[in-house]
Amino acid sequence: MRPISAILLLAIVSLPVHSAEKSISFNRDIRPILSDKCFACHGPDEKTREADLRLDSFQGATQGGESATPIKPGNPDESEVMARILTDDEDDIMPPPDSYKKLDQREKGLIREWIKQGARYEAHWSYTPLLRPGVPTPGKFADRVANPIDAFILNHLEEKNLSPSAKASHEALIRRLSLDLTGLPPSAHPGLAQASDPQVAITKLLASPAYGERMAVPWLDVVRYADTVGYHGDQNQRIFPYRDYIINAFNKNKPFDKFVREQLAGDLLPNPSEEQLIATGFTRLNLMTREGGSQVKEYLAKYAADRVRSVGAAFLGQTTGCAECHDHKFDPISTRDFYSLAAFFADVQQWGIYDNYRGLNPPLAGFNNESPFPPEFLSPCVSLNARLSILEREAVRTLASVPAEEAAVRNWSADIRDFVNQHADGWQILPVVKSTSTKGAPLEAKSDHSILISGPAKKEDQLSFEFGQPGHALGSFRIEALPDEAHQGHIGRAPDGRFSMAPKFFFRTPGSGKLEPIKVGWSQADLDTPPKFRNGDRPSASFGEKWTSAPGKLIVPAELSKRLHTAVFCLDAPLTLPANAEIVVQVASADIGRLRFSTSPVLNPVPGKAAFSAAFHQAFTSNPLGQRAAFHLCRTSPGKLPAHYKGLLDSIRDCRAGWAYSMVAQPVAKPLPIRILNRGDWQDDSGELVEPAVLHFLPSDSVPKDRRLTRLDLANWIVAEENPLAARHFMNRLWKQFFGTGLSNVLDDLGGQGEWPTHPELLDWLASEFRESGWDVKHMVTLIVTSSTYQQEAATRSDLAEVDPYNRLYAQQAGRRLDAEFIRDNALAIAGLLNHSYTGGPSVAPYQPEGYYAPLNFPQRKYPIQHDDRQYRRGVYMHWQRTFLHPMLANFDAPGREECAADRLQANSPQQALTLLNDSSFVEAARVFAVALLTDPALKDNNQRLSHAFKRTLGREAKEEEIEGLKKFHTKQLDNFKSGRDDPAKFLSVGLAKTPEALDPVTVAAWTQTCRILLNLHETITRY
Amino acid sequence: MSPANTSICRRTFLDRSFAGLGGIALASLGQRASASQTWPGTFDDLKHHAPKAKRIIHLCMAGGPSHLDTFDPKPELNRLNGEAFPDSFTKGQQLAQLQGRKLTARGSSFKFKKFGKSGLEMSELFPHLGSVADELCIIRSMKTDQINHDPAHAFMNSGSIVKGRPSMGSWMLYGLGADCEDLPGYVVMISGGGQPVSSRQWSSGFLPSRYQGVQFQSKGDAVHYIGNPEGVCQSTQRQVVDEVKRLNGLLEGRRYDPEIATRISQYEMAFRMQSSVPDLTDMSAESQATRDLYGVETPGDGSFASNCLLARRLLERGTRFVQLYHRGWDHHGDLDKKMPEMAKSTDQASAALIKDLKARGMLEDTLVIWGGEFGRTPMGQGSGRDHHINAFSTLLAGGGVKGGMAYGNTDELGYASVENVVTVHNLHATMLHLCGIQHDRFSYKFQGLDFRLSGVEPTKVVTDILS
Repeated sequence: MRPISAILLLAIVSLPVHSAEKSISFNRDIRPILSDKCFACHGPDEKTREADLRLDSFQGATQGGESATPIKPGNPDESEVMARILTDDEDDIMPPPDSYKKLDQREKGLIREWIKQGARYEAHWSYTPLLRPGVPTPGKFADRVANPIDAFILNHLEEKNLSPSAKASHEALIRRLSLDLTGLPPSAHPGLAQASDPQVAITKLLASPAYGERMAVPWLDVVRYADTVGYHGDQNQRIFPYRDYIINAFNKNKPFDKFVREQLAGDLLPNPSEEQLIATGFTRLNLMTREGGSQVKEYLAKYAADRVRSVGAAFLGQTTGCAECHDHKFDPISTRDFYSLAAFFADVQQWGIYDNYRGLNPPLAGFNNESPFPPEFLSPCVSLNARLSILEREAVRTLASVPAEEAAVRNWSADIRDFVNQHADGWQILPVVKSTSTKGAPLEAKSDHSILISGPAKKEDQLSFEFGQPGHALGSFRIEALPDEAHQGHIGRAPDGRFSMAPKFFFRTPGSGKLEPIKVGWSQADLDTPPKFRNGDRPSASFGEKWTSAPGKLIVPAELSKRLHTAVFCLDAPLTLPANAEIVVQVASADIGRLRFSTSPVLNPVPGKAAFSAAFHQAFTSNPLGQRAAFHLCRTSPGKLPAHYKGLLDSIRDCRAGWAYSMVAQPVAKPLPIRILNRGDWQDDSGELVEPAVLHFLPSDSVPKDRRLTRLDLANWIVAEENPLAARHFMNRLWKQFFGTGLSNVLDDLGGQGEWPTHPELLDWLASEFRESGWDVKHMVTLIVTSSTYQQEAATRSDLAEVDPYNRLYAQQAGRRLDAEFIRDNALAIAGLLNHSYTGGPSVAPYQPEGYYAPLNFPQRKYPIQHDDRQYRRGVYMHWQRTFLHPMLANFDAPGREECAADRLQANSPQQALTLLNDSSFVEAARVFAVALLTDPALKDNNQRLSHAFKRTLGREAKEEEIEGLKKFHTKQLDNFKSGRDDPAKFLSVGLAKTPEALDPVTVAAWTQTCRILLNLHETITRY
Repeated sequence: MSPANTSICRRTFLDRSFAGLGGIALASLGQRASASQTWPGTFDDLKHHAPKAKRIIHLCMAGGPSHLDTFDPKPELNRLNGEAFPDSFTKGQQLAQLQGRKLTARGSSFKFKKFGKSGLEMSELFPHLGSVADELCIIRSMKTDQINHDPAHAFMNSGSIVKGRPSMGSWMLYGLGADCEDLPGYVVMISGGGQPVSSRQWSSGFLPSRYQGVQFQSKGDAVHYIGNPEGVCQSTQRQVVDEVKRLNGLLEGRRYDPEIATRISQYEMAFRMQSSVPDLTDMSAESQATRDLYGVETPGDGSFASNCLLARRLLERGTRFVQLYHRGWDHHGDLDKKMPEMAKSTDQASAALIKDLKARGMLEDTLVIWGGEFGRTPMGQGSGRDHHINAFSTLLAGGGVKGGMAYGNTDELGYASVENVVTVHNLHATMLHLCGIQHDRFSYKFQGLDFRLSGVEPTKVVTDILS
């Protein structure tokens, strides 16, 4: 550094310093200034470093530079840095004018004072070891200390001469807890509003499955969970079981360290469970392309960079993405760090283009724009099975109300009773009387009545099996494909252990011997490989003519071919065979290994499940109405049953017998070579090859040194004792969830350009407590919500609006608008429309403006609005189209999830008003709310309805002036609809839910308007 | 006085929860007041010099039109037609679908002609644009970094392929606000079929979401949720908004929360939009002569021509940035048939827009940009051409740009831009310059970095084309 005259300095007037006696903290006071104004040219990035001077280390600042001493500790007047920032000379002043950065007087004063005090450097706060700070001794507000959180907050307030706020009213607190912990209003939790003690409410809410759904939302943001691939055609990807995993992890309070390990490396754990494999979906949430003409290498580089950014965002609070092209400008993250992190994921099976474009990816031969994105894991899915049971119960309820001739039901019940007693699962296994193979394959009847077919697979083999009659009218057939040791444990004789078959069913009339075909209307298997795809999924739950076993191409586990497969073949109508008729099944199959046949009187059983479901048994053994339902299940063609039942049957079939696919990490034997890309240029092969390594500037004592590191090592390091970031990052984000701001309020960056925490000791205490509690998330949530800090009144103090407008001191609670998903959940729950009957499951498609997906292509698609109970599922389950996010979600600031988002910024826009005013979801919710008010026998008159509606919406009693105006409004609306100014019939037609015909349309319409008011209130979408 | 009216709350209001559709609030509450809040550190004045352009319309020819068949005549390429493409041009270069294939020169099947007093050479397929040749500046030396549609659009829009970066429309709205009271400040429309276009292209990225482009739909409501619920008339909707306002006002009296005041004003704005958007999209007042000028068959039919007319109405009403995507330029095959079709569907309306703006005295301060996300190879790909990043043409008109000029050149085969090369960042810098903004002083802090539309590397304004 070229010296400028030190004499100049003598002329400088003294610079202001805040509280001069107070010692300057490098991290709090100086680093933010240097980082923002100096480090770009005098920081960690060697390539852009000017004058060989770095100001980010003591050594650099005191010894570096070209000539004069940049910083002389204790002596600002002899420090060239001071001279440079104080001069008026445009050629010398720092920062230089063309940087458009300026230091103000306060900043200059701070730097001067800091040098004077010895220019002590501190390691960046978030990189320092995480040590548990002592809890401060409570001072003036000791009586308000409910737990250590309060001690930190209150002592800080005392220093600032502020006092905490009063505890929020009980009803306000219950609503706050309910919305914060579950994203639902108190009315969605039976008995909650009556809880006398917040502690009771907290326990109840933490145990609700809605807690996991609420906690999942910020996590799904930070890992960029979505239902589509993001690039180009933005096709659907199958990964909802990963979302189920996240929700369940929070609900079961999975320790966070385990949570991290499973997502990064569940597949590398010893004997990984299905759940642990599904968790690795995290490694597959990068954007993907199938665009023809894409360069494989280019996209592999994009995917790698995407994953590196995700590790930084999700687990470390680091902006690792900056180091893709150059060393990080502000943090010590080097390009080597970047590519070393990328190398951890080099073993994840992936393709640059998910297509066999020009023969580049032979394993993907046959894939097209409609195909899924392999590899995928196929496994039984808890949420789908839960849905299945609910639907079966609903089907029975529906059928119980469908008329049937009483005598017929009685007779049928009497006839079938023995069968039900003997075959609890509703299936009767048919012993084979005769079996043949046109190609002479050896056939052997086993003691379990299955037939083992031996010998090599033979093309065009036609197998034929003959059976006697079952003891019931035929509703459906079942074929089981069984694994057998004769076929190395596989189900089929194909080289890969698989099979395909096309069965045909007949009966042979006695006498004539003629084969009469038995018409099968529907065939579905629990495990199969669909013949084709439509937008990433099978077009039909049925396999059609030919049943091909699992696993399909690039589906794991391969062991599925050693698992029992079951298919059902459902008759359109029950069939009573002529006496002495024989059943003949012809099976065209070259390679089936061992199979078994059964029949059931039930018309539409679910493959792989009991034909007599639990719901069936319950109905059959209950009253005559129940027996009527059981009767219909066996005796009435769905074509003759009400449309609602057919809808249910479709939904049941759509549960795919409870099996689901999910994208997972599938390790490959030979990881892709990862090299440092010069300026991020994927075409440049000159960079050095790197192996997986953790961030070089953080402690890594626990990391093995003697072998190539794996994703599991990365995960272990993230949650290792020595890693200071993971716990701090998660706690900082958790804090935001309950207070509206982070303790360090740049949530995605705990690095140098982030924010010095308002309460660093508190953040460290929380992080230490989190770690020492065994990474117990519910424990930390409980600590936060039971603190008196959390339980204060919100936004009621004029003094704080002046001195702490952003509520960074926590002398009160702040109002905070609900996140997009919860705005919708809240409205549906208030209306009583929310479907919360099970947790998890495939994404759903609530109303969306028509034509919104028109700009999408490859394939073209139509948004499949759901016309059943799924319309009303929670927002966390809404289909997440990365390139065209649902307008309601987008209007309320949900991120597109193309990049990881550690934070959601909140806008307050006219589009939000338009959404709440006019979106069908909200208009329908208002109507259903209105109907609920009008049909509640406990509500005797309009006054009671209005008060009740208010309380239900806001969790508090209405004030008189609120009610009075609403009444006037209501009267006006009645007039509007009566006079024909507004059209009640049209108005009530918005949405799928039916309005009871007995209600007067004008009355319902007017109440709907009143309920619209309530659902549009700022208070309704805000938690105070 | 209600608590929200205290001065600190007003500041908070400006800083944190500034009203919705970008410029609306900026315009009504004064730009200076907010500048110190929204430009931390480096900004003391919003506009760095007097702007030439007040508004921008980007006619994005999505799919990547061939420069060789439109605005960049290459006789030498025609001469080589059908012969092997010289290896010296392509060695070691990134190609898309042609990578690794035998490369053959493909001349243009279309004749070029000199248009206007300036004698600008353009393909005969564009007679209407030819008729305004003297208003046009053809940049023949464009270059981009991205060879696939989606990243190339992202690069053209945001100067980066990393997701979450603001599009240029968002930057403009963020920097300049808009003069429209109750219409979006940044509007996007899409016509034609073909390659998908992601809504990320008009995302505000890390800028607050109020700067996001609003896509006008060709079907149903132009803006999502702009229509009242079925059966409810506008004056009843007013009653709803009034009652919501009254109750929110009561809440404002009890809570010190600046968001309440903002919410109240957003409901007002929403209600006004419910009339202003239908007024805007009702094109019945446009004369037959105007419709004929644009070649609009049925106003509001979602065609490019209709969108151009609607765009003019938006620009008149103060919208800052309009982007019209017209899809269908991805001519990997069948180019000789499809190119004339695409030219026909865009030529007249594009020229009409320029003429119409001029007739209304708006062209001089409206920057018109016409072009795709990349160009196409001079090497044939069957009956078409492949994606190409080394060269393409972009047209500019109005808003402080010289008319009747061609700028820059590609080599003799149209393979690479070689003279006065204009990068996407150069184009952004120039666009900002025309709007009175010095590109390297226009930044937003995100994840610790001062991000700029024109990128972190030094970039130049293309001064030669400024009028």
